[in-house]
Amino acid sequence: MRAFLIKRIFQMLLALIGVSIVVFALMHLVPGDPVRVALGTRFDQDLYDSLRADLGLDRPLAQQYVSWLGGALTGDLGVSFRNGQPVTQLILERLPATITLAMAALFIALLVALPAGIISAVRSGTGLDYAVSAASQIGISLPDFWAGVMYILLFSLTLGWFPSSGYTQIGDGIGEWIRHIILPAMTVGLISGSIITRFVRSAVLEALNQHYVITARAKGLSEWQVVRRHVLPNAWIPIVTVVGLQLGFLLGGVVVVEVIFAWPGLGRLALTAVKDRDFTVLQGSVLYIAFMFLVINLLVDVIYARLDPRVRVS
Amino acid sequence: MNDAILEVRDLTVRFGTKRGVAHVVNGISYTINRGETLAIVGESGSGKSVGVLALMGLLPQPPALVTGSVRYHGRELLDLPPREWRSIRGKGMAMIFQDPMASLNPVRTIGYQLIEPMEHHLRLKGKAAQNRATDLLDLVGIPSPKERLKNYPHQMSGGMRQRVMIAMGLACDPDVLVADEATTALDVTTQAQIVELVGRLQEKIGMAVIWITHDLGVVAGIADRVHVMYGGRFMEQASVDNLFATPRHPYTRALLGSIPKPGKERPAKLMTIAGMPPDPVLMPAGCPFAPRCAHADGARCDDTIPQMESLGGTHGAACHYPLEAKS
Ligand SMILES: Nc1ncnc2c1ncn2[C@@H]1O[C@H](COP(=O)(O)OP(=O)(O)OP(=O)(O)O)[C@@H](O)[C@H]1O
Ligand code: SF4
Ligand SMILES: [Mg+2]
Repeated sequence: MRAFLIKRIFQMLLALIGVSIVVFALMHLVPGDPVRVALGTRFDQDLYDSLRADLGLDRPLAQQYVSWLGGALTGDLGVSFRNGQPVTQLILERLPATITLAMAALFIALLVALPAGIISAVRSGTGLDYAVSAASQIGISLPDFWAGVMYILLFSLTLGWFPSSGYTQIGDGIGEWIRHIILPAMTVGLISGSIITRFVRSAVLEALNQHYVITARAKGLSEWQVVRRHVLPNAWIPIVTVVGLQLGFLLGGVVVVEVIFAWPGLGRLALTAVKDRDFTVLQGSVLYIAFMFLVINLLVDVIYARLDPRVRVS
Repeated sequence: MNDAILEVRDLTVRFGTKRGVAHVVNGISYTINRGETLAIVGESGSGKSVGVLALMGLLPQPPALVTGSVRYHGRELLDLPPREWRSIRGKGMAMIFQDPMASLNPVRTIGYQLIEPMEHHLRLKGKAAQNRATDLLDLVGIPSPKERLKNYPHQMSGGMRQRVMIAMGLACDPDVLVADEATTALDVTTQAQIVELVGRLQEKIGMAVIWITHDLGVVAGIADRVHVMYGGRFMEQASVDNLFATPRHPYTRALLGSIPKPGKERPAKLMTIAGMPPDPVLMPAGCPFAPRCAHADGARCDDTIPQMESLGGTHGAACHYPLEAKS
């Protein structure tokens, strides 16, 4: 297990370097000179040149990359072109809102997807199965902005149960925190949950069709025992992948929902950075998202090895 | 011979399919006594597996529709509430399957899967269950059984896995063991070992065995009586000796003609009878073998289903024109 972990972490670092090169290259190859944009109408060739020199943009790309990477490794992602704040700090400030929303959304997603997916697989072909399939189809097709606005109209403006937007920290009272997070988490979570439901259903269905299920039934186990003891332990393996993927998306920030609910997450940080051509912030955000994906990937692999003895030995 | 453990009468299984009703098992009857081995032989698709899955209650209904009667120690199984049937399944009647890799759960240890039926039916737990599991693995000839309990299926060879399957079948001392192509996936040497093992265990425990195979060669080594199945029906039934010495049904004759004789080359395919087995959705109105039968008369064979008739003793054939005993 240790050798496996070390190997995977090493692979992850390699992947991260690869990602950083791509991110860096993209930022410098796309049209639009950030310094020129930053200067706007105050453009002046001398000012422009000195600013570029200050930011190190006049050096060769490779050299720029190496110094950027060196900084990134020590947690220094440079400063924002726009307001001069350290990028690392900007990202860290957004993390609590992003992580709490991601977790709450995933919680709702799993709360819906696991029972719905399992039941519709076990009762496949029945009315219940069709109902679940239809519901998840709707969940997948509804645009998030529309769903979010509908929830605000219903739960906030009409019923007045929850505030329509804003963020409070857990530390400022758990009740208020829940009231604020519930609508954005529901918006994201139900969509995510609809996607996961489908995967849960097909994973359980796939496992149900395996021969060892007949063996288990032949032992005299009840259908529920068969599902719990034999089907689910196999179905978890593919399910973990999708859940990991979904979590990766959520941790990268959910732009539209953050905008609707005035949620100070990473999605909005990145969105603003795009609008402002704030290259360093954008670079930092993308690198962070890639990092999150890789960490979750590693986590998924570790869980895999726990779930599947065939992975463990190889 | 009043030791009947299992009496199957007129067992019929149909499936609703998109193409129409599939008549897969069409009224088969047999009785199996304590300690006896009954072989059911037939080509692929003849309904052997479906027939035994039905009597184990392992066919989901729908799509299957099972009718007829299955009496286990005189008790009708087909009307049994699911709960009561589950208390027999895996305890009094156990089943082992063809593919020992697919039939074992890849993410559960051998020990877990072996102890499961004991826990379920015998309420055996902890050390007692461990000990019994070890004994069973030992019984089926697995070396260092105690260590093997911690293994996963992929850590064992095919032959070992099939032995584990057999041990699982024996976990609760069943009086009927159904073995569906239990040796088909194995090489010839392992196959012989498993056949020998089941024979030995059977003598020791006194259980009855239903041995399903499409390999007549295996039948000779293991069975007391043989039923030859085709198109969901029994074509011929006899003691092993009678069947091999004096096959009376044209289909049996053709089957026997297709097994390798000593000294001759093994045929490329085990079944070399010209033509295809009948499609269960389009069963012939008369004898199911008629389209392939060299003796078909083109009249009665095509419109009247031959019934199983005794040809003396326990030997029977379902044919309008049973072959002469000598030839
Ligand atoms: N669920 C089902 N729905 C429709 N037809 C089925 C179903 N299950 C089995 N059949 C059909 O029943 C027939 C007999 O199948 P069965 O598995 O019993 O054959 P078999 O004699 O065991 O063959 P083999 O030697 O290949 O195992 C086949 O034609 C198959 O297509
Ligand atoms: S009944 Fe007719 S077709 Fe069928 S096996 Fe006998 S001779 Fe052949
Ligand atoms: Mg079969």
